[in-house]
Amino acid sequence: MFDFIRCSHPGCNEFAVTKYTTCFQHAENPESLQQEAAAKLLEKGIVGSYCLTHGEFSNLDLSKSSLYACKFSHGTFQDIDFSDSYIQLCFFEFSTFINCTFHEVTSKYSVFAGSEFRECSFTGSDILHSNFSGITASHTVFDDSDLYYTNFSSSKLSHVSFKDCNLKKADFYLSERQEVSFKYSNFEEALFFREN
Amino acid sequence: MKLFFHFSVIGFSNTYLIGNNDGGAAILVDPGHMDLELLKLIEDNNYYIKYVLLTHRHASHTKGLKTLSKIYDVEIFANSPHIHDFPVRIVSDDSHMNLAGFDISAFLIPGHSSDSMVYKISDALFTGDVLMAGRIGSTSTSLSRSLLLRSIREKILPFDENTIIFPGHGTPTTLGIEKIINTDLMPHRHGSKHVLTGNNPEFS
Ligand SMILES: [Zn+2]
Repeated sequence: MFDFIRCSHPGCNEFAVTKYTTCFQHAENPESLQQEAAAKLLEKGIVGSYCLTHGEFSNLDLSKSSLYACKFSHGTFQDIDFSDSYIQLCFFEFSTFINCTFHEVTSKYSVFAGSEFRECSFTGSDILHSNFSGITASHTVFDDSDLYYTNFSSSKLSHVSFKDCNLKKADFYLSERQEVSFKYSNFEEALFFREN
Repeated sequence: MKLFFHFSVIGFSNTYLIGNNDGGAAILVDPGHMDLELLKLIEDNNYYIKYVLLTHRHASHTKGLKTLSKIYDVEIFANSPHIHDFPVRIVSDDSHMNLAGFDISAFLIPGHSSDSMVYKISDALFTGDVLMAGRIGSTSTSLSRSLLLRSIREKILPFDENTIIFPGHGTPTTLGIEKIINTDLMPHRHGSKHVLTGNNPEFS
């Protein structure tokens, strides 16, 4: 797990950037921290237990990356290629993803809740047991994916496609859906309402 | 601290393995089912299970104890004294302990069951069936639901929003997410009860 070390800046509750004493926002030189993080990600080895929240990343080829127990919450990710990556126990909540490709990724037990996805593609992926609750997604595609036990409750989905997906135990409770397609998917096995 | 997640298809429950970075004595939270995959996770990371924390006594969180106790000499911590006749060290509300080098706080949050415990290790809460992503635990009466909600408000919500939640079922989450999204924690919001029909263009 990433170290649960809080930022040393008075009154700040954010987790500190790995190997630093402050969070990204209170760092003396955030630019260099971000470059360091990008360089680390581009190495494409296993990135484990790394924390950098509120980072801004763009135009990176992070395909075939392995991320384990990392925290990148409140981040901005634009034009990032995560294709064929393995993401486990990672936290990306309250982030923004614009034009990112997650083709054939494996995501397990990871958290993307409260994030915004614009023009992103998750085609052919295994997104298992992951938390997408409260996301806002537009023009985003999850086609041909296994979404077993993934949580989309309270999400706002517009022009989002879930064609030919495994939706067993996927949760769409209180999701707002406009121009959403579940064609050829086993939506009967997903949860759309609850018996209270 | 290293943390591993294991999903049991039997009971659809989560088991968590918590250990130090260099192996050794480790903690298992809620062994709902002990299978080869979990054993491999423990052994491949050079751990042996010394302590078991139970969030409550329901079978989907405890059934693996029988097999587990044949493999490891475990000490079981729970609020209920009756766990399949295993000797149990009783954990009381608002208590603290140190196991495998980890400081652990324990909170009794009754409602889903009378013995429901939440364990806090560093900034992670192991909430069992008390609080899950997007929902609170099921309850059998409106009184127990009120009790559960009150206990969550008093003992869980005061932790800060970056606190991570590892529930007994479903996906991980954070307290910040739940404070915004979890409609069970919002008394005035009610869910839709619409039923899926084959005529809906979404599904055809
Ligand atoms: Zn800070």
